[in-house]
Amino acid sequence: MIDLLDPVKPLVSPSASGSIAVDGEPEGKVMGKVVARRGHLTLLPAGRCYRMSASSPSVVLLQTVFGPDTVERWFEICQKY
Amino acid sequence: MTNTSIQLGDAPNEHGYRPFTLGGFHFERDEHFVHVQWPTGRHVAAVEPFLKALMRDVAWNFFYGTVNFDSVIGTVNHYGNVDLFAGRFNEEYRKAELDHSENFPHDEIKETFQAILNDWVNEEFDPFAAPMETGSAYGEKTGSNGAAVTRTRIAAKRMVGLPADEPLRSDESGFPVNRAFHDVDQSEPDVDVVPGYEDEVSAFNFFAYLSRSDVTWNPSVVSVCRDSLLCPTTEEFILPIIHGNDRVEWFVQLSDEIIWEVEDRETGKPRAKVVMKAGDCAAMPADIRHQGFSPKRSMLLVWENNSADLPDLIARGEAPTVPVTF
Repeated sequence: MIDLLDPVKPLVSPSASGSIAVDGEPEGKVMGKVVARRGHLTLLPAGRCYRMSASSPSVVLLQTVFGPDTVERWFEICQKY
Repeated sequence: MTNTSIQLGDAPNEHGYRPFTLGGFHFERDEHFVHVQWPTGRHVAAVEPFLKALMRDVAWNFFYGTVNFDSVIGTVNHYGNVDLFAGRFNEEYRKAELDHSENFPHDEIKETFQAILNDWVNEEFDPFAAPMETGSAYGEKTGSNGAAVTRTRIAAKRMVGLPADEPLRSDESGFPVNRAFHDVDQSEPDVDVVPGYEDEVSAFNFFAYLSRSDVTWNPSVVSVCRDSLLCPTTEEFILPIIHGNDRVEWFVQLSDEIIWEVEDRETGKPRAKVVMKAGDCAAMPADIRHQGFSPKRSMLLVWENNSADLPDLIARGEAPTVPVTF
């Protein structure tokens, strides 16, 4: 499940890039929620807050750009020959 | 050199097909073959693969980098103008000095290629369709297929399904589930939207959307995050072009299997064979060419970096040709 929140005040700079973790419980207006299952694509709007929760282990492919939350591990994961 | 000599078809030949001239290149077709001539050589290619390649080049607006129709003919996109070449990426043609290349304004070469498609594609042939979903490309001229050859590449501005963006696919809109994807769950996600946020709270069944694709080897922009473009596509049989990269390109195999032949972009010498099964991820380097073979219709996510700066950065050595070094 993905909960979406419109924060009372901007929590990141408009020029910021990528996914950025927010401290604590941000105040704001509930925008809605999405229950996404296998093969579903959900918009995570810019400048808003989202929180994902899952009752069992799940995998999400996140389309974003480089940012503070980025962890580059391709060199560990990729097969080498 | 930028060339502006263009002839959009003289009188039809005995098979009903018009010849076309663009700069120093001359194109003719008969029942089975396309004949291409240029000042230093000539080439013959089977009609069906040639038209399939030409169709992609037009619909993709010459795509990223090089579109090789085969080992001889192709285009290089300079994003505003386009090189049409013969033998440029064929080491033996270059050694024999049979290679030739001319540069044309984007609109001029596109107009010529579109005119060739309009005239040379018969009414029962769809260059975008899988082999078992189209009639023949061969034979005498019989009508035309304007609906098929004027398809444009879907390019969402933000995400498919959002207000004022590209629509979802359904039976009602003329996109039934493909014969290979009847096992794909068609149920949509649960979306609860607080009034006023309809433009921002949105989700759809991405796999179901793909299962309703009526074309093959045609990446569509489905979701955009700055220069990051999700370009999923359904594949069956052989990628009709050999794509020469001008940037790193990512593939995520979503279903079934594709076998990729990867070669050096400049010489065509083999570099790797990559067999991708569902869940596999691969990066195609910026200095290779690749062609895929999909035994069964499959779902492929092509993930593109659309930055206009990349080709020059890579050419100057300021950006790598691979996503990681070990």
